[in-house]
Amino acid sequence: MTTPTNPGQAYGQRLARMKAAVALEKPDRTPVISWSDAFCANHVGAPMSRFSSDLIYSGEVTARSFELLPGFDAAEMAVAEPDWVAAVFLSKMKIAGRDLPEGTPWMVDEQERIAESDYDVIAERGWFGFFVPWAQQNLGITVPSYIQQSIAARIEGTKRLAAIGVPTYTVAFGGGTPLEALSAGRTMSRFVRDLHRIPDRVQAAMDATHPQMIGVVKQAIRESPVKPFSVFVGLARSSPEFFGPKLWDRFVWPYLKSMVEAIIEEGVVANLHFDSCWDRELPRLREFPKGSCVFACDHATDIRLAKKILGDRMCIKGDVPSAMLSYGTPDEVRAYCKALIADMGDGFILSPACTMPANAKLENVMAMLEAVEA
Amino acid sequence: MSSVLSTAMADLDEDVVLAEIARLQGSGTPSLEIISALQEGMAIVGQKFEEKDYFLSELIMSAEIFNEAGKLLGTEATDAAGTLGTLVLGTVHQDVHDIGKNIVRSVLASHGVKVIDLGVDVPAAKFLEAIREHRPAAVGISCLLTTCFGNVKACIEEIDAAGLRDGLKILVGGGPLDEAAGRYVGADLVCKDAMIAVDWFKTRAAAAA
Repeated sequence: MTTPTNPGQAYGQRLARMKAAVALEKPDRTPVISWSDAFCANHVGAPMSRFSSDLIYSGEVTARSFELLPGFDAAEMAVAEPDWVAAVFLSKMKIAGRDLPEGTPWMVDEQERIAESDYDVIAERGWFGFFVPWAQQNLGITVPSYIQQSIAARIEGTKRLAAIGVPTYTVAFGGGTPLEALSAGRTMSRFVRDLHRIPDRVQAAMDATHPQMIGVVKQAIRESPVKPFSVFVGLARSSPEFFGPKLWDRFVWPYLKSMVEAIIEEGVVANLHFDSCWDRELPRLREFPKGSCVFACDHATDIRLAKKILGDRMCIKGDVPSAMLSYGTPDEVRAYCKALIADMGDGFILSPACTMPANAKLENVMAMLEAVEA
Repeated sequence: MSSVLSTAMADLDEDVVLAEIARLQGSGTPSLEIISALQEGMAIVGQKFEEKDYFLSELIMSAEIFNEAGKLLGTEATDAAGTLGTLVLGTVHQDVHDIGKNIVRSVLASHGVKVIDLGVDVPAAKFLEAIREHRPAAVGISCLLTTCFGNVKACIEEIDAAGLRDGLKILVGGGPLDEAAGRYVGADLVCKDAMIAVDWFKTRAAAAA
């Protein structure tokens, strides 16, 4: 499929392709997108230290990478924000040049950073009454000014991508479940023990957090200068792989459901970026309106099972394995992608499982792009 | 053996577990017998996990209760209960993600494996030093990042080059570390979850018996 040389036309063609897939209609070919993250820095030879710590620069580098790989139909995110990602999970990030050698991708340094008593503080003061002073004191992040910088960088990054004809697929406004942040801030082991020992206090903190997060997401969508294509709902620890039905029904599903419904109410597609294995609870996701969500899986969920259960309700996105992109051969990647495209049919977006690995081989990325052009 | 203790352990009832341990200690029950009852409960937890009655959170919770019980019983007693063999464990150099490693540590320790936990971001030299010191049955290398698979491979190559691989098995695990990656790094066994490592130790012990 020829991509128009005019950026505006290319943008329109790519956007139409993604919209058709999300609407479960037949696109001109399977869309292929990537959350390229740290791969972009390696791809264009940019220093990881600056890419990890300079929002505007990360947007520049991301656009340069996508300009060199015109086969992609969208960039999943316009900028990389590792420190902020860690902060909203009540954690610190180790990044190149500050905590890690140059060239090393960032990684979360999970420690016990909140105490059992903080559940009560959150329940009493609400999420922001707790988080804003906590982030200042523990991470040195001034939340209001950071958010302003982040919004500016995202807008600039999105414009930069649009100028080369590449849509931005999603934007993160804090959509998720309270479990994700609390379990990271407490550490998973402590948090699980809390769920067994003091479930009511944990739930009180969640109940105080969640309406505020929904409010923030709805407000952010309304105030966006350009309506986002989709809003990110990123979950990993909320996966049914971690929790049996009893805990999941109480501590995950009500929050997940109301967050996704809130995003859909704003007229935006919910990008269900669900890591880990969701096989058991796939039928629940049928409760969301047809064509309103994309289920993105990371190779832990059985993507063909997802198609079977959800295929007539929502688009499925995934799931070229990270190890294959980094250590496999182009033939392996091509064969995997072609089989997936054939089995998934319409209502499917090809992408790496989760993010593109920082050390993905360029020839493997190219093989992934070639696979949609059959 | 206390069936109350093993049942409470299997049911993840921390209060009953700790109360029963205190009662048994008060009545002079040897620590190893108490640990044996706990391990019987842990075996039921493992079985329920395999049957999908329990999930990762229940595995984590069982390990947390076992850790709390271990505080009452003392390190010497829990070490002495490490009858299935020794595992040297750590996340590979340049990887600090330790949720998986910690689950493995706790679950294996509670099933009778003595675990030498080297922590996170462990250089190959530290693995070699621990192998020489502890003579483990296996080394467990945890790796979440595809960028660090090369470090896992290099670590295993250093263990080989140092002549320490004879009689030693290398177990690896971590989100994206699949069978193909396991072959690439030169591991003996890829553990998709902690119970696979438990089963390996049990099979080895049964074969040696």
